[in-house]
Amino acid sequence: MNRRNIIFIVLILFGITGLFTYFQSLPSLLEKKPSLVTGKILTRPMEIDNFELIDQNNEVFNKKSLVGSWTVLFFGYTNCPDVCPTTIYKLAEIKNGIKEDLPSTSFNTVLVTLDPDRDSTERLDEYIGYFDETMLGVTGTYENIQSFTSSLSVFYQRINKDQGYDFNHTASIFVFDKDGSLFATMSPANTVGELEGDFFTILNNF
Amino acid sequence: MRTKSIKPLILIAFLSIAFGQEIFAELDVNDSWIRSAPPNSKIFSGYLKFKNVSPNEITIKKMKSNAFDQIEIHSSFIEDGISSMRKIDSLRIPENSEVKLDPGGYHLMMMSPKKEIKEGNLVELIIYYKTLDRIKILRSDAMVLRDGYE
Ligand SMILES: [Cu+2]
Repeated sequence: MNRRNIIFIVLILFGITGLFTYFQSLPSLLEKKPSLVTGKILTRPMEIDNFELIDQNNEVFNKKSLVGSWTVLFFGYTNCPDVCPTTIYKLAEIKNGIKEDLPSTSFNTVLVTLDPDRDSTERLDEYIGYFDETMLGVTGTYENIQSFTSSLSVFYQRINKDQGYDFNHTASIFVFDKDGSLFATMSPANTVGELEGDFFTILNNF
Repeated sequence: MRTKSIKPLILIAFLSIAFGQEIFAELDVNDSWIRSAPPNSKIFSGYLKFKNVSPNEITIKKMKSNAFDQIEIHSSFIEDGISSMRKIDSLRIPENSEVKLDPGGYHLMMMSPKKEIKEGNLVELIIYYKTLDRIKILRSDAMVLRDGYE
């Protein structure tokens, strides 16, 4: 094999690799949707079944409550001292950031309890009022909480202890668009900065 | 002339009581705080930094406080998208290293307050730790704060 042939083969190999990477990245080039660092945007916003819950002000919280503004919702219970307040504070900080930089954007945050036994509307009022009074705290009957969680494929399980009980539950933060459809999910374990970046990605592009 | 020879001994005894904790420190506790919560809360969460400054492994065996009926060391974690908490029976701190209890990770689960836990108050923590097969006790104060030391 002479030198020319070798150069020729090398060039062909480069060409093949180039085409290969081009075709591999083609779908993401065609699909303009920006991606998130802390979670994912659904391929198409998902409409959810109606539900019937109640907030800390004894007002109905249902599918219509999600319409007209962006809503960020997560599940927890007020006897959770570590993760729940941490998530509430993260979301409060993000909400303040959005209020400052995108003042015309309407952005609501909601905690849905998985523990209606202990979390009455009064308890939620006290709890939410203490950590972030601009947030909604939502409870309901077992059946209504069950059907709302299952429409979002949220898992939860009561864990009994010597004293009281805890819940293992789906950690995700659920983001609903202004039509009230499920738009994205994120993991609250990320930093405020990472989460905030993703919210700005969503709010600036949609 | 017996009194003369006793004087330095008394001085040494005094000094070792006064500075004993500094001289023999092997475990440092820093940035201790308890997250404040609304009235009627039965469970609180505490955070701190353990620093083992000794050449031997230290394990935290249990924690107590005059302000709570029970304190457990917990770990919050997310596995397959599910958020859970697990009780840690003894927390290992390797020689010359640090273990941090932080929101969303390791934390003190502080149950059934014996008195009101108010923002700005100090709460005493009693730490039982084991090193070289001996159980020792260290006391430290934690500040009740909204969102840690920032
Ligand atoms: Cu815990």
